[in-house]
Amino acid sequence: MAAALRPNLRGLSRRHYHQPTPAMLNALVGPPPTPEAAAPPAGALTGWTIGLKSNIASTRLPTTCGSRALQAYSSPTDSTVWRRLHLAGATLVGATNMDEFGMGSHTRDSLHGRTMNPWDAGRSAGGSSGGAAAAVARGVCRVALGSDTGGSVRLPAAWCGVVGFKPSYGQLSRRGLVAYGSSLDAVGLLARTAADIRTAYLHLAHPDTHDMTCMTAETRLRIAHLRQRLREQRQGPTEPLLPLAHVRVGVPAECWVHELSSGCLMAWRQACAALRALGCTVERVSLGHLDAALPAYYTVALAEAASNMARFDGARYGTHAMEGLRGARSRLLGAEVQRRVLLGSYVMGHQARQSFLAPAQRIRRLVQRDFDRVFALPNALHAGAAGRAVEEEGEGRVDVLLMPTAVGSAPLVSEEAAEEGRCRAAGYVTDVMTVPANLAGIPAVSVPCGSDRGLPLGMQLMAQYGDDHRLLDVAEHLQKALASKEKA
Amino acid sequence: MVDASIPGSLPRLNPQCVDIAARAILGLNGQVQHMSSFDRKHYFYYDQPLGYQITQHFYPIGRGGFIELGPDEGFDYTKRVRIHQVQLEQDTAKSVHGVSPGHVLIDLNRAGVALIEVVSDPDIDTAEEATQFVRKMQMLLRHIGVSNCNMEDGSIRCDVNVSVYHRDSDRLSGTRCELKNLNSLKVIRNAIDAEATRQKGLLAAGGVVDQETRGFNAQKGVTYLSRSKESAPDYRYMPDPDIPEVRISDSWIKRVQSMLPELPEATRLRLGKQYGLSREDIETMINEPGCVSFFERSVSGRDPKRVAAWITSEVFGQLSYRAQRLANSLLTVEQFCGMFDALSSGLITSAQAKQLLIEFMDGEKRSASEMIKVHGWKVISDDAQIRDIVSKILDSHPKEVAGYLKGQKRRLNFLVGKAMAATKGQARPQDVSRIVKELLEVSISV
Repeated sequence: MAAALRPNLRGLSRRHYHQPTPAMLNALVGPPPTPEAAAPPAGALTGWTIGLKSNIASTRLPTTCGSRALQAYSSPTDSTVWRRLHLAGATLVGATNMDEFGMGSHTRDSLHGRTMNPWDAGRSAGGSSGGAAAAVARGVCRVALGSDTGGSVRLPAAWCGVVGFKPSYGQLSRRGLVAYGSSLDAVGLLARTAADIRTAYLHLAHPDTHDMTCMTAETRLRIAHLRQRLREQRQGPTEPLLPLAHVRVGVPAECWVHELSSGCLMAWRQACAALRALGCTVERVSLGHLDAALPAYYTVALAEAASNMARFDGARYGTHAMEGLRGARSRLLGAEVQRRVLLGSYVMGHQARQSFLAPAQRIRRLVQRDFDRVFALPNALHAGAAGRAVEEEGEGRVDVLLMPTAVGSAPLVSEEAAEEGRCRAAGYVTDVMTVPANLAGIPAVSVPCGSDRGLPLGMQLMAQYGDDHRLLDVAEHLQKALASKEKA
Repeated sequence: MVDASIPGSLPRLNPQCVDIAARAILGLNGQVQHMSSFDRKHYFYYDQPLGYQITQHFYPIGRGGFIELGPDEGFDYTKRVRIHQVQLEQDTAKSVHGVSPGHVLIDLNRAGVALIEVVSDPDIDTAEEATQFVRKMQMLLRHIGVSNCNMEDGSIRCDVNVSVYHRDSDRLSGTRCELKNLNSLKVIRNAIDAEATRQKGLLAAGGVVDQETRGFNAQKGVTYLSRSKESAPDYRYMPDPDIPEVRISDSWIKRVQSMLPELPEATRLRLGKQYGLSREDIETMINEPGCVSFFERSVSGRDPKRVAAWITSEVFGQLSYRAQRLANSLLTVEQFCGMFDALSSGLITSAQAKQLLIEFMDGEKRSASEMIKVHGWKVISDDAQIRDIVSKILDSHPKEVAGYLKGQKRRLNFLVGKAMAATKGQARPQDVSRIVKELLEVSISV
């Protein structure tokens, strides 16, 4: 068990792993949770320690979102996701650090200061759920809940060497998650193993009448039904010997970009080999609109961010309310949030909408259609999807996609800052591999795989909308296979 | 939570609002849309804690429809004012002035409550048409149970766009100004007239009308500038990602349609044809929610005109005395019918019937027949018995009798009154009057 819980350490130096100490990491921020009024109910998650990203509400922790605007703000209600874990017996450990309102990729722009990468204090922990990833990597908590709008769970998971899972849009209730880009936001999970993520996830994936975008019971049933039909179709006459026989893995050609580090390429090949050994077929697929995904993502996300930030006008919340409205946003919001609010307000404007927001929404639909074309499972959301004959799936239809989570390992914070000094949008490029899943609302998971100059790397798996179970299944097998190979 | 825009809270569409909006749309002869969606309208104001209002900008739930104005509204012509669209949106918080001096308090209880906005086409030509349009819509929406439409408490609010045009040019050639927050029919009429006068004056003096938002000062009878076009905000409309599209099926629309009460136009025609009621009675009953139904449940087997007369005079008299609506009254149809039948068959007098009505409306739960027993009322219908009482009265008032016989006819009313009092109201006045006359005639012949 202990071995299974250990991250994949291949090529990683012990020296890196043992520094810095958890307290130095600045993964947990703010006061510890207030004591519970009553003993937690005993359940399947009794003894499980949970970290909550600072933008997921609980009545026992401040919900600061890493922002001065919500400094010392405590939510009057629990988020649905935390309430579910609590009811299953889990123990709250603390609030994890994040980029202000989730807007960042390095957990650097926070009211609480920077979170350090547990492998190298000088490096980025990734973001925006960097506190969650660092806390999980150093065993501060067994599972952390983060939020993923464009990769904010998967990127820090990859750079901190843990598993990070973004479920399908609407699989988990967003109630109590402070909104960034409402049509992209998903509550995600981080843990050392895919198995732990699956256990916690099963307690969370339920309908919630408080969130109109949370999948209804009917949708969940329809997906299960589609999945079942596909399985019956694939079933051979004999029981397969290998755990992932019948699973088809697609490798998107468009992800083969020149920025990929050599370590990353090696890890990608290694993952392909491991999946083949598990019985998968691995084939090349094409996602034609992937290159347009990043600009489309930033247009949509920033427009929604500007809208969602409108309430932080200085008149409400936390200790800064009533300081006066004039200049409130300049005082209360950090530079990056201000930048995104301004950009978002611009693209939403009466005139810019036609040249920015409208095309971005069209690209978003094209990206979604690309995914629908490569996946064997029909998309349960689209009208007539249930009617599409499963027989139609020909060559090139796959169950999961495999690609790197990021183009390389965690960068040095100093280098990153210098880069951004040259080009403001440079930081946005780190999200290039992760945003397509948010645009399409499909599930994606980052699994530790290989290393680059002593630092962990992550490989990302994606699946069709609603196919979260299958995705976690593949991730769990892949992680175990990589771990056992390492021991050997 | 959403009302106070607690971070992490999410809006939820109340299905009842969709139902009510659909009723309003169908009542206004419009089309409920199969697909509608919600958008965020961004602007900063202290009564808007979210920083945006959730409304329906791109795909409203209702399109089309009309309200007809004609003789019933006092016009000597008939015209249709078309409805452009009907949309669902969130109300803002309520600003409370004067409770805490120097501060405006914000009551968030109203924030986020759904309201229905009806946008008409520019078909209205006069202030009177505008007023009657609003009045008729009020009546209609009350009738189909969409809203109580009380302007005083803000259940219905009204913004009016006013433009004037030169008689030689197109009717829509003028620049419009929006008058906001007109809160009574009288204010609507006066504000429009004041604004039209202002615009005409401007044009006559060679000036131009600027597109702007204006308020109305009812005391001075003038409109004033509240926001010019230059400061008109860009609302940066964006589809609300928190609320999925609303899909409505034909069968659902049909079901709502079938549950809609008869529309006032049709009711008016039918009440006239079926029961022969007067126009006044019909108007009075139609304007009181629940009244037509009360009438129709009471009328079977009874004289419709008398039933209507009792409802519109006696019942309404009591309602206005109590400042009550019929819908909240404790009077039941059964009690009313019992009272009416007892009166018609001569079991009680009309004075007693009125007393019963008062008791019922005070909350008396017992039936008319029980109450008649409790009071021990019975009408003295035996002429011999009345004759006894009357002759005693005549005997004890020789002066008045003599006066009558000399031709002082008004003495008759005095004698009838005395005799009525002697019967303790248990005889029908017409019987007493007849017998008094009879006996007096006898005296003459003697």
